Amino acid sequence: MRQVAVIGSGQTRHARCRDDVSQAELVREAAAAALADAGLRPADVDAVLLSNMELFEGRAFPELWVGEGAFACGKPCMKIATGGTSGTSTCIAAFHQVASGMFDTVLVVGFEKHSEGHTQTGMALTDPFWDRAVASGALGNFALSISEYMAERGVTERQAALVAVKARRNAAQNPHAHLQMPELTVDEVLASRMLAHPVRLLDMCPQSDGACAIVVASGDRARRLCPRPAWVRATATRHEQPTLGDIDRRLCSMRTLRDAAHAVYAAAGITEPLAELDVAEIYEPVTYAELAWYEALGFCRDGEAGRLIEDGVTTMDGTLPVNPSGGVLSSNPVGASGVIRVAEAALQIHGRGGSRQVEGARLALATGYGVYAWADAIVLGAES
Amino acid sequence: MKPETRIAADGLCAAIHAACLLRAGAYRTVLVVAHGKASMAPRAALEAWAMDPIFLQPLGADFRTVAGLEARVLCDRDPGAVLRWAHLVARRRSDAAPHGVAGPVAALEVLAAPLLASPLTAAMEAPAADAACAVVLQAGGSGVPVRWIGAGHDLEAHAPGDRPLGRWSGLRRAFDRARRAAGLEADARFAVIEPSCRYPHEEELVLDALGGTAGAVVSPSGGLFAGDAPCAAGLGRLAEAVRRLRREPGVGRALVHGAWGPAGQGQAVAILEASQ
Repeated sequence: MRQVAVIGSGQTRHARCRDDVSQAELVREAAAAALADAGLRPADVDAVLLSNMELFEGRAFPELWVGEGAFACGKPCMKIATGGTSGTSTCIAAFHQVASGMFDTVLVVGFEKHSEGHTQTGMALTDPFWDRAVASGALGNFALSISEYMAERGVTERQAALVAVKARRNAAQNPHAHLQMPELTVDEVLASRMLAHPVRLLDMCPQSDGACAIVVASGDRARRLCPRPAWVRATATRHEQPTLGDIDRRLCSMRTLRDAAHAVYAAAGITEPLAELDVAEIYEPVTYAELAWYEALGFCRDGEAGRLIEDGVTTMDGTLPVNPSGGVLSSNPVGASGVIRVAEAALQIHGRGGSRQVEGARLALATGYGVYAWADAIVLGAES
Repeated sequence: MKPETRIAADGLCAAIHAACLLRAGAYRTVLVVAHGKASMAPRAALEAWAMDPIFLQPLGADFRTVAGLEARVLCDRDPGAVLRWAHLVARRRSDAAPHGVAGPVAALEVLAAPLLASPLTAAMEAPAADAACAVVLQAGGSGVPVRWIGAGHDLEAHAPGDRPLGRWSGLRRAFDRARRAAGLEADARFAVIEPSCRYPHEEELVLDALGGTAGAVVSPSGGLFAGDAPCAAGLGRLAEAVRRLRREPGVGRALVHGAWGPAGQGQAVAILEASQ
């Protein structure tokens, strides 16, 4: 397998409603920024991969219309859609396309313009016989599994609120982030509106309009174009039955993410993720999920996630900063969110994170999550 | 709990990505599945929602009307085209009759059918169908009957005004990429060509874009006129080509084509070879 690296990235400003641009223009904003960042022209790109959740913005086959915005015309182009993991799945597909020798340089663009559609309607298109009536949309799904998770692991609302505060304070250092709440306090999170017990408004991610692009290149080309390429050390994707009753103790076990994490750690030679990883960009759609992911990703043992956040282990000055970007809790253009995780992880390896840079970051984890049924894990590293 | 990628394009693109996963050495065996259930929703309505909502959708543009425009461009410079297309449809429907969702139809019936998007009549559109198709790809298999030797794909400009209608240059690019990957010269010959064509004029555009197709058997089982299931279409062509390469000794090389979007905006090509 050829060496593969992320050599540049670009993001739009993420916001509730980007009515200053069309979907194609939104895509172009990120694609052009990523190419400029990598020092490339559109003609230097061999192929384009798009990531988007169809129907979230009321379009069908959106790649047909927005492809031009991603400089894809006249180039090989496909779109990949795997729920919340779309972005990470698409990055992994690009890594494989470059690793195979099929292409040398691939542009990945993830985008979503939620303000033009109705996301929860899209998310309600689950199994019409069994799931649709009981667990439709993000909230119903989370409320059920979070209640179970709290009961089993003893996680508290205050611990979840600490996650919300960490994310929004980190986001204040990220000019792209949608939610800017630098002064947010735990009490404000606990006083925010209850959406579906135990999930409060500030526990949830926003719905954002936004796009993010990365440039993926093969070994020599990456070294030539980028002073500190973010090398792909390992990737793993896991998918299982999305039917509600078929996923055992969803948030508690999250076996797709657990299994994907084990696979990438093994492939990258990581035995103690908390100590060995320098930074993690994980896909946490709701505060409680971040705690559950700490356990699934092996940052701590089951039942210890609450203590991890209380001790500040995952804050910017902790042992393992998690989501310096502010995470999905601060910006969530779904099709772009996974690409943002990879772009932010790569930015840390490039050493160009600005005021959100983790000093000396050399090994980074990026993950994707798609309604329990999907999980992706990616390890990026500096030149060894 | 297996790795899975979902490609949102014609099923042949999924096979192309699977071949790339194998070439990267990521996996040894990949199952490619494509499915489409056209009966679940009005296809034309969905396809209207795939058009540029600012400049095209408000004009009533969908895949069907753009196909009509393209056919109009072609028959304006070739007055015999419509009659030829009617005969082509009759032939495809006849070849597809034993396994297709619609029976045979006479050329005159094709011409007499109500207009769909002038000059295309309703009978000139491949009948919509529900179908799924699965193909297994394996790396480095020895003793396998059929080898995958190259593939390419392409996305053309979206708006009909931004590209020359009546010429599938995207397919030409996809074909050249596949040909180079397979190490074939520009004049390489194919025993079988399996195009994904919803309308008869598209078949002529495919052959025109490929060039040098003399001697090839085209769409021997009727192509999409046996039933056109969205997304499954191109993978179905792959399965048909494999079946023919396995069944008929001496059939050496096959070209498989997949398309999606208005007037062939998305194009995919795979080249297969029978093991000797």
